[in-house]
Amino acid sequence: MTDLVDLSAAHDASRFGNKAANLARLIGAGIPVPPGLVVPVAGAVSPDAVERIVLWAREHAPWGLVVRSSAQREDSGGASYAGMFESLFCPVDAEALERAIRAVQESGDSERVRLYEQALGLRGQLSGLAVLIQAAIRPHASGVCFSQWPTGTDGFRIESALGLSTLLLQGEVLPDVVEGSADDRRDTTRSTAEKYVIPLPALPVELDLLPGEWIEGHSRHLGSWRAKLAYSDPDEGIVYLRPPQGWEKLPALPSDAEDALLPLGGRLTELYGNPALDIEWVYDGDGRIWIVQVRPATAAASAGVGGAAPTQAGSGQPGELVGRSAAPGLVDGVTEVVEDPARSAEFTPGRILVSGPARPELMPAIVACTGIVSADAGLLCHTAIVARELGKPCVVGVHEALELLPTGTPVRLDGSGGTVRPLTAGEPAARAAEAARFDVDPSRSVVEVLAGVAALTDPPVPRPGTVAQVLIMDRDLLAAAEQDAGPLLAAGTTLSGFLLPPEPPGAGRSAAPAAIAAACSRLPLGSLGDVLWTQPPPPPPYDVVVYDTDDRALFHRHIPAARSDS
Amino acid sequence: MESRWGDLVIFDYELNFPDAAPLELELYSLGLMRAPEVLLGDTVPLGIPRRPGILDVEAGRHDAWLADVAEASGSLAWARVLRTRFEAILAGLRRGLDCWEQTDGPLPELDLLVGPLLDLMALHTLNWVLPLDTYTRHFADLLGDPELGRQCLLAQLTPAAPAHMVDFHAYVLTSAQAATDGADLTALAQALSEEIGYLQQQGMAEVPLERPREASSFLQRVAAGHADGGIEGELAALLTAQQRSRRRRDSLYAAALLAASTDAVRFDRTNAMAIVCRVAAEEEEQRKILQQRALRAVRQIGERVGIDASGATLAQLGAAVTRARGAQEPEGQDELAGIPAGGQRS
Repeated sequence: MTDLVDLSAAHDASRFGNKAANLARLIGAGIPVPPGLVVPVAGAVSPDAVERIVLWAREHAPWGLVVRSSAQREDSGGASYAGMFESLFCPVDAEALERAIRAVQESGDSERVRLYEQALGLRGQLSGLAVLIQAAIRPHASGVCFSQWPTGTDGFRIESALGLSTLLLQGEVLPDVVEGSADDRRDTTRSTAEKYVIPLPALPVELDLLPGEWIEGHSRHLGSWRAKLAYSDPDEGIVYLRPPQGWEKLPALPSDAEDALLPLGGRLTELYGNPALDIEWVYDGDGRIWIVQVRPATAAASAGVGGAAPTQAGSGQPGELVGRSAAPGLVDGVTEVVEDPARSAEFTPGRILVSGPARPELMPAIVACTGIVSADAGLLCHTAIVARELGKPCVVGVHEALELLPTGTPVRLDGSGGTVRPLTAGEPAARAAEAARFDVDPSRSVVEVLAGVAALTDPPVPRPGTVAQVLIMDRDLLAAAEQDAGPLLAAGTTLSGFLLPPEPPGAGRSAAPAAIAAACSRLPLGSLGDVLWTQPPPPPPYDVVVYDTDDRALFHRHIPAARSDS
Repeated sequence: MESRWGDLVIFDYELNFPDAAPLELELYSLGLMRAPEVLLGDTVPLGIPRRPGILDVEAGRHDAWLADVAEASGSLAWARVLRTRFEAILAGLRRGLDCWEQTDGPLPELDLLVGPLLDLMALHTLNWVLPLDTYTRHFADLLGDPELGRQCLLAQLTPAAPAHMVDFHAYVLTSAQAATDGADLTALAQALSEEIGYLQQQGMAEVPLERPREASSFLQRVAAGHADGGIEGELAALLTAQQRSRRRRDSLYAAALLAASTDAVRFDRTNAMAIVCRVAAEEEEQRKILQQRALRAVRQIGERVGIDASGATLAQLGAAVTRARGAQEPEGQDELAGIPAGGQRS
């Protein structure tokens, strides 16, 4: 029969590993630690043992279990083995539990452990892995407290996230960070990350729900809440929720819990006789902080935490935010956030607008700005459409724009590339990447090609050198002309001709509406197709050009003089 | 909005619109259900509604539908049908709104309003189902430059009619100028509140600018903000910018057509993509205006038939309208009477 030991009695690190022994010590000192059982080092886990754990869990673990490694060298000052072994949540279910225990035991022989030990010169020194099975706590928030930050000072650092800390420890979500002096909390600094997800251990009934359903809960400082299920992992018994409305920008750890955590950290440093500890904690939302792991701070752990400066992956430019290109153009400027569209009349002309969802009252700011960064998403969102209509460079889908680009930030907005980034002092002015366009030789004659029905009634004023303007007929215009040639014939007084669309191979010459064909002469426009000329066609040589709005050419083809023998 | 869960794709509009009324959410999910029919003529509804705003779609069906749209979206014939359908839906919805906004006659059929409204919401899928990356590549290949390809796509996604926000702004500026010039502020505010006030914010709830007093204060603030003049200049600048963007759209279109002018297949694809882009941009703007106007009408219908529309579903509103029209519902009749086919029946 497998020897199962209650966590509170697992003091012998040689049998139960350092993590379990540490936690047993805390329990003995009256520190809140989730209850648990330990499978000793080298202990095979029999079906009977699994059944006993399940029976125990039904009494002590309403939110499921967490199955964790506890190695002899783990959590020691020299080598933390942080993240080296498996640590798995699982529902209270014999099969899932057996699978989790086996996975944790097998992780002691994994490639990553081998590489880690090789790097630290520890290979072969790990002499066994106990398995710790604890009741999962359903947390409001959890995270890590560094009792000495930076090393050698009286400072502290708390990193926290909503729900379980799994995503935080994997680096998949940004933490809230509080740093300051533990003695008098002087110079405390805070950064609060935007919250997207709350991982929680779940009740079996919650694991049966489809995404989109609501899960309810209660926390002491925020009262009753309901959050939408985004995803669930039945194997681990975890649900991933979207934060309830209004929680996205709140600190994960309420101030009273923060006030309770710091003295608890102080007690732990006294207990261990070590001022520099990494403490993993869980706040249950009901006023209680649980300690789930304590280890001496290691260089690796400290260096790995990093800052809280939020970034979105971009092209590698520091602080670059990546959204979606919505209207082309490159502009440098200073940001101005408009959160309340009713106040957009106060917008400073010439700045770059940073805004949330579009509303008509935002228009004064849109008119006055030189570019737009919007949290709205999609190339067809209203902000994007208006930006294109008014010719303002625009990037949409920058979800954290309002937080990360506060008013007064000098930025470079690349509406074509879909990025925005802070400008550094002395950086040269923006120059847009040139699209492939052509300067038109002013000495040459030009046949300008136009498109769109607006050209029938309101063609652009011919530029110097333009000898003819022809309208390219798409199938729509052709079909319309077949129904009623009047508008085209009327346009024949200002336009020189109509370029016919190509016909499929083998279909012969392009069809032309009879009424127009009768009134025009049909001649080619170089190799580009046939034109129904309403006016005498210009003799080659000439350039066929489509002008952009800045008088440069989007399309350019030289038609040489006809050879005398042709 | 949508997430893949096993063999389901779940569309959850509650996420995007957490404060929306049930009926408003239904417009999105039931509109999506009808999208295969409206876009492709496929009469099998997409997915099964779980509740207003949530639609569960079998993943295979979802993927096949997207692939069908992608394939169709390069076809000129499809683009033309799409445009014709869009125009017909707009016309139908405007007729339905006109009927329901006449408050002194007999109550019309709710379906006059809801039918075309759901069809329009089905077309709203154009803002995410189109293979715009394929379009961009097509334009880039023609124009010989990825940047120009992107610019061409963005330019084609500009509506022919002014965007509703620009229109709204121009209306406000014009009214403020008129007030400054001595026109009757009360009448101007009344007109603003009736004609465009409902566009101030999304949703069914009455917004401040629907109230003439608020509209009056708003106009006064705008006029005061332009006390030194400048409204005419701002309006002219708006017009110039719009003309420039439309000219640029046409220039890029001309360049793409010309580059395809020796290949009929590429020429027709270019033509098709331009049509589809314009329908999509137009839909986004016109849908916004008509959806908001319809929600205002629904609120007023609720008041006329004695039901709080802010908490009602389409079925409940339909039943209330049927009762109010004096038609006795036969025993056991489907509660969804009055809701057009394709609604929440599965």
